[in-house]
Amino acid sequence: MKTADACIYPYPVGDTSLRRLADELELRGFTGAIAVGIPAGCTVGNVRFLSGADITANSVKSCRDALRGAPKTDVVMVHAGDAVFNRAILGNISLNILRGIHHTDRRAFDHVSARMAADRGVAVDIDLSRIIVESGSRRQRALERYREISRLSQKYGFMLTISSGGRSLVGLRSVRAFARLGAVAGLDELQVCEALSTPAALLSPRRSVEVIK
Amino acid sequence: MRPLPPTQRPNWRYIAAEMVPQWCSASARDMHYAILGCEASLFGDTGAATMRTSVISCGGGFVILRCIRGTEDDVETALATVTDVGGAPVALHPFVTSGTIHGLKKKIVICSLPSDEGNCKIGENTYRILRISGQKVDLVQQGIKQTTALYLNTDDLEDF
Repeated sequence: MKTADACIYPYPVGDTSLRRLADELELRGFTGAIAVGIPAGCTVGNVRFLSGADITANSVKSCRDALRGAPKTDVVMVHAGDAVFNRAILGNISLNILRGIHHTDRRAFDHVSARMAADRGVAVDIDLSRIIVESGSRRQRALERYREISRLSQKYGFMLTISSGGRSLVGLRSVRAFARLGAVAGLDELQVCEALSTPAALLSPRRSVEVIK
Repeated sequence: MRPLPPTQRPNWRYIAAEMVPQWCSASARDMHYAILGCEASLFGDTGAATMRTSVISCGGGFVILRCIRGTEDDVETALATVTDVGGAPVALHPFVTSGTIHGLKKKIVICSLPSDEGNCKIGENTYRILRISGQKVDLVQQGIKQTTALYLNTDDLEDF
């Protein structure tokens, strides 16, 4: 899974079936994707899908409850909140991806959260749908946040993911468009390549060497 | 009036983009305004004016655009932000750039147009079945205000 879209919503959340999405993703240059609302570990044609749980919560307790209630998934994605919430979930919840960073204010994800994300192998998602769909001040705010995240990622080394957030065939973008929009969001070519391969890396996180006797 | 010598003419680049969904019947005029709007929104009026983008042709699931050489990357970025044309949801996927329309057309593979295969009922909604090339099937519901669609495969259609 060298190039993966980090978040898509197939039918019934979206309007496109998983098989059709697989065809389209392959056509657009992807080898995998994280899909919300599908059973874990699913491969359609040449496209590997990871199931994702998309959690929105306002406290660590409600986040933990939502996780407990959710079916077993490959990847856990939690929507970011204010600085206190972000630090709390990064410290206490075993999540894989922090999403919705464009909704938060500038101080919500700072150097402390960045270091925690790097230490715990949590990726921060760059949701391109905010650049595609929004315009005016909302798009400017999203771009500003993404540029800040890109800078922090280069400095502290936490992983990034890029997602189209597509709920439809029309919402999907090609790998080429990901690179172009990533450049607008302040990511260089290397960062885009790494971000596209992050979903695979999340499944096999780096650990310290264990000596087996 | 004497024509401009070749050295003084602008260097154009032609971009071909695939329309999704293929059956979208947007006019070239609507497409032109949608692309110009996206360029102005993303790069500002100055940036959009520098690109001098215009739509050469639009139809059959493809759009051919013209822009000034050196602005192809920016035009492709703007194309990635196109979400609707004339009120219908559309995505544009640029796939080839060339210096001549002739060179561009060599690389465009014309697909068969979607065929209408009657209606089907899912729940309380009635959809028109459009069979696209391969196993792709689009179910389209024409409403008064907007068109909704389900994008499926033939296998999914059997499941429904």
